[in-house]
Amino acid sequence: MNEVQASRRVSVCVDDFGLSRASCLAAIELAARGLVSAVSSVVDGEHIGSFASELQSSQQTCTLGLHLNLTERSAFRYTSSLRMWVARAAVARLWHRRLIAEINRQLDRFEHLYGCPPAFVDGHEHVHQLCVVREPLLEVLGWRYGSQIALRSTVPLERRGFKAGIIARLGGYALRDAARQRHIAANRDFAGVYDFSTRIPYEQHMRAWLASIADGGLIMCHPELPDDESCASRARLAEFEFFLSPRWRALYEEFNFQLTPFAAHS
Amino acid sequence: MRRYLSFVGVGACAAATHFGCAVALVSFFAWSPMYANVGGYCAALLVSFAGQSRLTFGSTQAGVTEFAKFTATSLTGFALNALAYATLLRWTSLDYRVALLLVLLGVAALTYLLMSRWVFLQPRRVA
Repeated sequence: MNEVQASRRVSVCVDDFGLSRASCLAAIELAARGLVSAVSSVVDGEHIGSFASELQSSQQTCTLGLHLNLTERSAFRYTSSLRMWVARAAVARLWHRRLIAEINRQLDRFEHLYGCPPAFVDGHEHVHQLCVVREPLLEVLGWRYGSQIALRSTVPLERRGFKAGIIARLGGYALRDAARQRHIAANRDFAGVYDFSTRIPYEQHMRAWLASIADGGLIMCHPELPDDESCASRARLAEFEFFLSPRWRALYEEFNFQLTPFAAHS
Repeated sequence: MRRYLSFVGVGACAAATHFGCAVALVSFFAWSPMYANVGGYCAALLVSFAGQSRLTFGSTQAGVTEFAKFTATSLTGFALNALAYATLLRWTSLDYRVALLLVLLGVAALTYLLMSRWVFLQPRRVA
């Protein structure tokens, strides 16, 4: 029997939409061409107002999610560094009420911008999985959407480097388990973590991730378009160039995967 | 001179305590900034009392009475600050920064006088 192995479903998600003009332009272009399958938005981003409607037109091939932001240029009064959020775990109960309000505010803003609830939620600098944020987030999502939206898990099924391991240990496992208990969908595998240096070509990273990622996995990315007004990092520019090149499309077949929008029922 | 310098130094430490405590209460303990300001003030009051009584005015027997007087002086200073600043802004054409500086210096001088002549006044010893 000549059986063809079914292709894996992999989501590729652009993070940070709204934070810079360069990230908005890159996400819009890649989403419009069907080269990525999800975009995660920072709803207080300086540029979100100008670009949200353009991104909305890509919703047929691409799902839109909330990139919960508590660490950078947010309208939240208690915005602070990731380290401070990690430390706040010691007094997590004190933050519960404030975070419930803030998460609701960001979800309301998302719905106002896009006219629909997010298909998924993740966090800027993975803040959504931290002990202090996780519980209020799961509560709010349960109240508002039941199990209709997906959550990003940062747990890799295989070893994908030291940094990826640290991220998963900063609440990733706990979030994955809590989401399972509450029947909230999450990606089964996670990749896309690297040191944002161009020492190793981005294509080489992507090949390694695609070679090992499981069906239902998600690869995060941070492409930015070369732009006079924003100063994107070289690594982010390299990501954009790679996704736009024929090399990216060639990998679909080589690694036998299907680009799949990230959502609860994908 | 040493006493004046000590008065200013302790005041600066108290201000730093006020600021540091308020920021810590907001950023770590999720207090609202309004309440955190009160928390910072209370901490600063303790630092200020300890410093002014021991270092500036050399009072080794400062107790509850002195602390009550000290708190009253501090609160009066704050009320006077707000009142004098509002008055200067309303009735003079001074730049707000100049007005604030005048008020701060004036209230600090008055506070010093109240502390030396009332709060930490040591009974004169008869030789």
